[in-house]
Formats: sequence, C-alpha cells, structure tokens
Amino acid sequence: MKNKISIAFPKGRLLKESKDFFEKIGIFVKEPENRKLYCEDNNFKYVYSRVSDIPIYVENGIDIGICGNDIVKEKNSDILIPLELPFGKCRMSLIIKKEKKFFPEEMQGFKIATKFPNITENFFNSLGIKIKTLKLNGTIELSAKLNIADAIVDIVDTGKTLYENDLKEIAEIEKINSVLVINKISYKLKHDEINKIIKKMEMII
Amino acid sequence: MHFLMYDRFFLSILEVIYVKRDIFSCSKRYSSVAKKFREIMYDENHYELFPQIISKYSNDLIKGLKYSNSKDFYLITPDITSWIIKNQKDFNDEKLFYIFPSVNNSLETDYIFGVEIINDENAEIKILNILIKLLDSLKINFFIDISSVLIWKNLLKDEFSLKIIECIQKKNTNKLKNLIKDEKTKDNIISLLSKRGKVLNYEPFKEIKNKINDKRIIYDPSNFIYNDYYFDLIFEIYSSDGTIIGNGGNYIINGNKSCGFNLSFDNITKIIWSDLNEK
Repeated sequence: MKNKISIAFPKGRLLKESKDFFEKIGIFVKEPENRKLYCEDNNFKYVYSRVSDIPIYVENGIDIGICGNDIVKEKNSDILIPLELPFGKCRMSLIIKKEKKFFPEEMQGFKIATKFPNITENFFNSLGIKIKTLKLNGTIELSAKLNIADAIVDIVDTGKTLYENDLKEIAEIEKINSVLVINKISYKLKHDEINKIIKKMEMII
Repeated sequence: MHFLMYDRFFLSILEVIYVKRDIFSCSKRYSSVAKKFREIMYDENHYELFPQIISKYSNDLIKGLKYSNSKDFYLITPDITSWIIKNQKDFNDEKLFYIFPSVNNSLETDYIFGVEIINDENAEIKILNILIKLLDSLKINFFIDISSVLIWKNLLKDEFSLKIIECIQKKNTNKLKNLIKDEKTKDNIISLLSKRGKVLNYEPFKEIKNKINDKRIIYDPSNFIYNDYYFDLIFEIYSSDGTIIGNGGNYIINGNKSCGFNLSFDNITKIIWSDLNEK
C-alpha cells in the first residue's frame, strides 16, 4: 500500500487532457465511485483535487501531480517540475477596460484584482512600480467592469470573455502551460518508478 | 442518558483545556531527544556551543529573522555555520555542537541541532559517522543523500546563475535546454541529472564509500543544494516516510577543511512520535 505511487489530478478544465495523457503512457486512470475522494488500483492511487491545491498536496506527500505552472509559481512550492506538458496552454495577462489607455509603467498606485497576487507583485516590482493587489477567487473580470479595480491580472485562453465584457489585454505576464510536478522526497524514495513515468512522458511530448 | 451526555460534554471541554494548557509536552519531547544527542556528543569529545542569538546584519550571514531598531540592521537566529565562518578568526581545531532556536522571516520557528568539526582533513567522514550514530540512537529509518556542489560549479562555469540553479534543483530539463547556450554543457547537465545512485569516478564519493559502507548513504550527484558557503560535499538527510530531517556539507574556514550538519527537532520528534502512534 505504501509503495503505490499517488497521482493528484486537477478537477475541471485540465482533467480530461491529464487523464488522456496518462493513458498514452499506459496508465489507465480510475475515477472514484460515489462520494469517495480517491481510488486505487494495483500500482497507483488516484487523488482528485482543485487545481490550485495540487502543488500543496504534492509538496506535502502526494508523489505526482499535474497543474498549471502559474499555480506552482504563485505558491512558490518546493517541488520538482521535470516536465512541461503539451496541453493547458494559455497566458496570464494584464487587462484593463477597453476605453482606457495605459501602459503597465504608468500604473503606480493602481488597484489590481487577481487570483495571483505574488506573480502580479513580482511583475510590477520588476518594472519598479508599486501597486496594490486585491486577491479575488473567481470572476476577476467583474471587478474591472464595476470599477472596483483599476486593472486585473488573469488567465486568458481564447480572449472571448474579455471581448464580451469590453476588456482588453495590454501585457502578457506569463506563458502558461501544464506541468508535471513531483514531491522531492518521493523522487528519491521511488526514484526508479517515477523516473520510468517521466521517461515515457518525454517520449510522447 | 442525560448524565452520560453531560459527562461526554465535560470530558470534551476538559480535553480542549488540557491540550491548550499543556505548554510542556513539546519540550518534553525535545528534551528526550536532546538528552540522547548530548550524551553522544560528549562521548565524541565535542563541546556545546552557545551562539549569539542576535548578530549585526551582514551579507555573509544567512537565514534568520531580519530586525531593525532604527539605528542598525540585525539578524535574529542566523544560520550558525555562516555565523561561525564569519566570526572565527583563529586556526584552532574545534569539535562542537549546539541546540539553537531558528526563526525565519515568515516567523516559522524550530529548534536546530547542529554539529561542526572545524579544521580537520577527515571532517566529512567523522561528521557522517556522528550523524549515523545520532539517528540510529533514535531508531529513525533514514537516508543520507550525498552530492557535490563542486561538480556542478565546474560543469556550469560561465553559465552559473540563480535561474539555472533553480531549474537544476527543480529538475526542469525543458527550461534548462532553453537557458543554457553551450551544447556540450547542456548535454553534460542533462546527463548528470540522471545520475542518482551513481558514485561516479569522483574521489570524495569513493572515499566515503570505502570508509563508511552504509546502504543508507545514497550518492546523488543530481541533487544540488546551493548555499553560499558549501565548498564541495553536501548532504540531505530524510526519513523513509518522506520528511526532510536536515542537511549539511563541507566548507572552508580560514583556508581549513571543515564540515557540519544540522537537524530539525520539529521533524525528528514528529517522526518518532508518529512511529510510536502507528505501533
């Protein structure tokens, strides 16, 4: 039981692609029945969690996980990131109302709403600009629309939501893609098994 | 029936009060470990060092909690090895140990048990033997990973940067491939990242293997713990349940070879007591 490799899958947008990716290397992922929180087969234990919690789970004991590199960076998790995966690609952008005209360098003292306050502050610090972040957990666009924030930093995939809400991107802060994350000590204790998984993944990327 | 319910209710309140008021239980756990460690260290002819809790801020000191009193900047509980390297001016041989509080800028606290051997050609071997003896005395199921900063420094040369070090530490080969310009260096780095468990043809590794034949020592040249003062060998100590217990390495002080390690009391007691609970 203890030697089984535990894998954390992100619920939501990345789930299907993550499962498909594991199936391509011969790991057929099971889903828990009823209201159980995890399930297992002979070799693996499958855990399902919110994507934002995956780095925390992996840092604290789950062997392997999949999540976006934005979340790993935001949480500053002490985990290994051996692979960037070929799905979940999008971008993190600085966004303002369509009618406004600003450059990031002109945003001294602005209130910026975001799910990613650390990445946002680092971005503005690198420009020498001091801003105030408002940490929100969802529908970030609303805060710009209602003038609660002067600008927002959020994930943009197709840009459709921005378009429909009269918002526009003015700077790309990070390129986002999903990553394979691994617990540092699991990598030592289950080195051969985990390395085999990494090698197989490398071959199909 | 009612009596039973009240009884349970009061018991649960008592339990909460008891847990909240037991400020000694953690100290009792630390104390039992400290007693064992102290006995072993005195047997090994080490003396106990009582370092300064607060030092004037310096770039040479690492870790600790930054503090300012409007006149000067200070570090509360800096890393003791960096404090020794900065302040030791004589060329004496020293064999010491210390139990020291650790507070960082996130106000996380712990007690650190550290051992140092200063100015000794065989410091690494002696330090590793002491480390094994200490952890065996607690019956902890542990491993020690040994790596070399020097191998990495020699390999990286001009490409040495914090960004590259971070990628090596995170084993992020994708990013490394983009960051490193020189093709040969790139290939060598990727190859080194897959050398866990290999002694390589590296003399300091071979010497340890010859002198301490312990299966719990694992040579992992892919492991890169970067620290300002480590000169060559670095150790990472962890338990079989996945807890990092401590780390260490060798360093040069006044031109002399020295070596040390430190262990986390929090993590050691956590391992011992979770083992006891499982039994």
